Amino acid sequence: MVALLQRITREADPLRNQFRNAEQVMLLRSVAARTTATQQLFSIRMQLAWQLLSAGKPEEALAEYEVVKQMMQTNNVPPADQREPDWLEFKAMCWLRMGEQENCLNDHNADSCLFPIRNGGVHKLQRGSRGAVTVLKELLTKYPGELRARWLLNIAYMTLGEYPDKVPPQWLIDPKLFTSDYDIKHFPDVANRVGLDVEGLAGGVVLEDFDNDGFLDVMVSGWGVNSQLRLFHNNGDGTFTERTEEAGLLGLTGGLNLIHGDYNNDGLMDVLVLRGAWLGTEGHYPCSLLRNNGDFTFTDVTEEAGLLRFRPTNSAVWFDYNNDGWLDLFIANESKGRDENPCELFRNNGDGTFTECASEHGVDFVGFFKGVVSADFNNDGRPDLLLSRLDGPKVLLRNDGPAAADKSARARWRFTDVAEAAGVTDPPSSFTCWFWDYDNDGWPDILLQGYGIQDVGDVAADYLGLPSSGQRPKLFRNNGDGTFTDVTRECGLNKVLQTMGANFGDLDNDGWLDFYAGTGSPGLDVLIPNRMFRNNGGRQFQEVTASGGFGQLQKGHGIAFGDINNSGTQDIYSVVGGAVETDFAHSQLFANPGHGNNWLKLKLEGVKTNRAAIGARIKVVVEANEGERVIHRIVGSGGSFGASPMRQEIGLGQARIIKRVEIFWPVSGITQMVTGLKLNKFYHVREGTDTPTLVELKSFPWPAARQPA
Amino acid sequence: MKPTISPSAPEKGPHCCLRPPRFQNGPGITLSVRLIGLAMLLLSTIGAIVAEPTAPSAEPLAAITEPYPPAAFAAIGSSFAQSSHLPELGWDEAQIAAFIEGVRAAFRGKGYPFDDTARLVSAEMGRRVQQIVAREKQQTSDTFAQPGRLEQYMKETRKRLGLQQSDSGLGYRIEPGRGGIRPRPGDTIVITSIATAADGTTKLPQLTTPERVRVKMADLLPGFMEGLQMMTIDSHAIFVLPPTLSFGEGEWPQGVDRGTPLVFWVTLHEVISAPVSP
Repeated sequence: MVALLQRITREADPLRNQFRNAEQVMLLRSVAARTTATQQLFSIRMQLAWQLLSAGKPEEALAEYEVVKQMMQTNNVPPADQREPDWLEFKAMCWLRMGEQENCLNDHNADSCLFPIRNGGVHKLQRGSRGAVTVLKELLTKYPGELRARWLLNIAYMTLGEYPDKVPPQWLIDPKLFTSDYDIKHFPDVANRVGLDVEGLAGGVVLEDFDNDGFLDVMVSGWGVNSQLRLFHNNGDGTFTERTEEAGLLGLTGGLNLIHGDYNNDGLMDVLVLRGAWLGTEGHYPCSLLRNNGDFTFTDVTEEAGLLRFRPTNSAVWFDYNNDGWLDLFIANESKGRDENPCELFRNNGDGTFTECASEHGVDFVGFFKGVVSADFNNDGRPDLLLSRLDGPKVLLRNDGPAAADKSARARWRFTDVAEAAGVTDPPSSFTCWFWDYDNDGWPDILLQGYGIQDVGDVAADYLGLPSSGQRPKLFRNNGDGTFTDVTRECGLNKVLQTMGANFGDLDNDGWLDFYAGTGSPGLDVLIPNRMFRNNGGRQFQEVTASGGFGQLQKGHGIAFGDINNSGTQDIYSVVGGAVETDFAHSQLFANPGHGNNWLKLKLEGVKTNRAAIGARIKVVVEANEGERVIHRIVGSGGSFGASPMRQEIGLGQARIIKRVEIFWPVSGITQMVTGLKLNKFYHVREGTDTPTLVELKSFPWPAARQPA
Repeated sequence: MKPTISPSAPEKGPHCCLRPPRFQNGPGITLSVRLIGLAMLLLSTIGAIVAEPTAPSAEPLAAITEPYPPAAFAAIGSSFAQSSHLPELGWDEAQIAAFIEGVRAAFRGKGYPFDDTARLVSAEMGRRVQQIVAREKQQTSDTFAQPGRLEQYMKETRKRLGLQQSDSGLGYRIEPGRGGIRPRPGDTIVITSIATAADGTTKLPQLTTPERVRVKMADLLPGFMEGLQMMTIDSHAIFVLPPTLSFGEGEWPQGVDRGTPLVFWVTLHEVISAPVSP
């Protein structure tokens, strides 16, 4: 696989990949040196200026800007064709990025780029932001409707420690607009303290206990063609050790996203690396199936498993569509124009290999798909699929079982797209998605994250209460009759988030699922905060971005929730970094400060059902002060971009006792009653074995923050 | 459905005073000021979508030699009859046969004379056609007045055109432009737009501006103004305006079905900014 990846990258034309910025700079410089025709040279140098900035060379980009400007004057380019606002914007971005490099990257600390920026996030070296302020004020004076500039001006003042007081009032964005609806308590970023301060581009994450030692380990990918897949072992003492090389992963590069599952039912979590997303014809990279060997090493078994295909994707899901106890795999691919890459369904043959059967089952959809997740939305015992796409109505595939008399696992299966009848075709353009039971009624609901803005001005407009064309998420509540109701507005989520990676968990162990949205887009101006929302009793979502300290301004991608220090509360790992090379950033680990609520951890082991228990349903019945309360969970890794652990970490609020846990195992079809569980404990429950096993987990405190020298 | 732009939201800017009559106190205003700018620019372009006339030729048209199937000509006949409402005029078989004979006679170059009786019958048929058209328009308006019909229409249209819907009820889709500058309520803009009825195909020349026109944001229909604030220069948009965001309870332009949604395809070309006071 390593050789194959290297060959594909080597043979690709960097000029056809707009994200290989440094290489494009070299090529454009070479072409510029050979070009004499003025018009052509003009065009090349404009491209060069943009590529220099994208490659993380803001000072050289500024110099190139001056050259381009001079060329415009020398050649008497009419003012209308000079696109002054765009070039002033470019100049401002050069200054802003300079400030980012000199402070947030070179002098990184836990407050860096945390919106609203304050304390340690204020730049010590201020020439970048000062330069940006000057240009942005000039821009806004000439073009008052430049919302993009207004947003960036407020950010620039924040980095100078002068927001809001020194922002000219006509351009001020009121700080009240950024206040949280609820004080969730501050979640410090401890990535740097524990050895998880991964610098990189956009990528995915798996939080999972790969060696079954009770501690969650971390695997992180980066989408750059040369970005190394990385693996970190949780030492159980507040430190992590990188084991990438020892694990046999060296040379495995690329991959915007990762998902995990136990495809061979050996009790060890395997990983699928998803590559090629967004790159169109340049994205025909293979996925990698990494078999977990049980000794913290992995073997790439893609080819021998029958998964070696070359279709661009960032989304796939493990699910057992035919309920034979083996995890199958659905990969949602990206098609654009004539580059058609139909979706794939790989049936697990139960012997370490897979057979592709999407066409046979009528699920070889063609579209620009950006997310796929599975759950049994109609509670009929068969896992269904939800496909999110950027270019049209969503697909909700109801699993109707065998299509003919043959009921065997290898029979032709029937899937019916019921998205329209169910009322879940919106939003028009969407990215990450998931099933979850946000209102704890036992019926899986849907959240689809909208994706699409013109520029950062759309986000600014939404904060300001102005009309905004940005795509918004859609929260659909399951009505329990095959239909869903759009409750986005009434739940307070009708906002322009511009979500890429995202996932859900329970921030305060109150038993209601919250979510974190990693936001952004490749645009250099799109410096917007990641957003955290707390579920207020299944009725409404409260923004807690600022109070929790979650507002990372750099580009947000893979996100996973998991209790990394076994304290009983979920922490959040967030891969930070974007598509272009200048969007190289530090990922974050948000440590949960605790909220005093009770919890229960369950690791399920399927026997007839797949061993990882993906798709199993958990119903926890507790006795609380207000009476009996029910909490529902579905076993899986969560959303479509970022993978949380399979063990279920369930907040119980102020429950006094756990009355019982009901587990529905989809293959055997039995509902297993488990009683006698204690609060704040971790249990291993095996399908069909009534007595759960108590697992003692060692916890550890987070290391103290390093004192500044 | 509460419009986003309402008199109770003064921070939205001075356009509030330019609302359609139903939002104002004076019933005497039959054509809202807000319409003036748009009406001027729209009415000035009536006829612009009419097909270019072809130069007259003295030569007789050549015989059609292509092997077109007879069914195609039958379809033309049916289409002509239906668009002229002939099947709805109450003719009996003998009258239909006589009409067809008249067509045939014309083709032979021996058309029947259009005498006083024919003129009388023609006037009667004209009255009947007017009744039918008026009834249809009423039915279209009535259809959207039925509970849930407008919501159903917006839902179907959203799906068909890939639209989002704002809190006010505006259906919209924006194809990105250059980014950056967005019109504000006090600005002047340069746009082109094509308007259609709710079916998305029936052109409304009285609301169409195929040539670039300059107009004040404050003079636009409420839904139009809301949608334009989302646009950047060179962006394209589709807006579907429910009646409350277009002419509402005020006077509707002639030829536009009252109380029906309107569809606009818009391109924003320029923004002339109003100065900002510090």
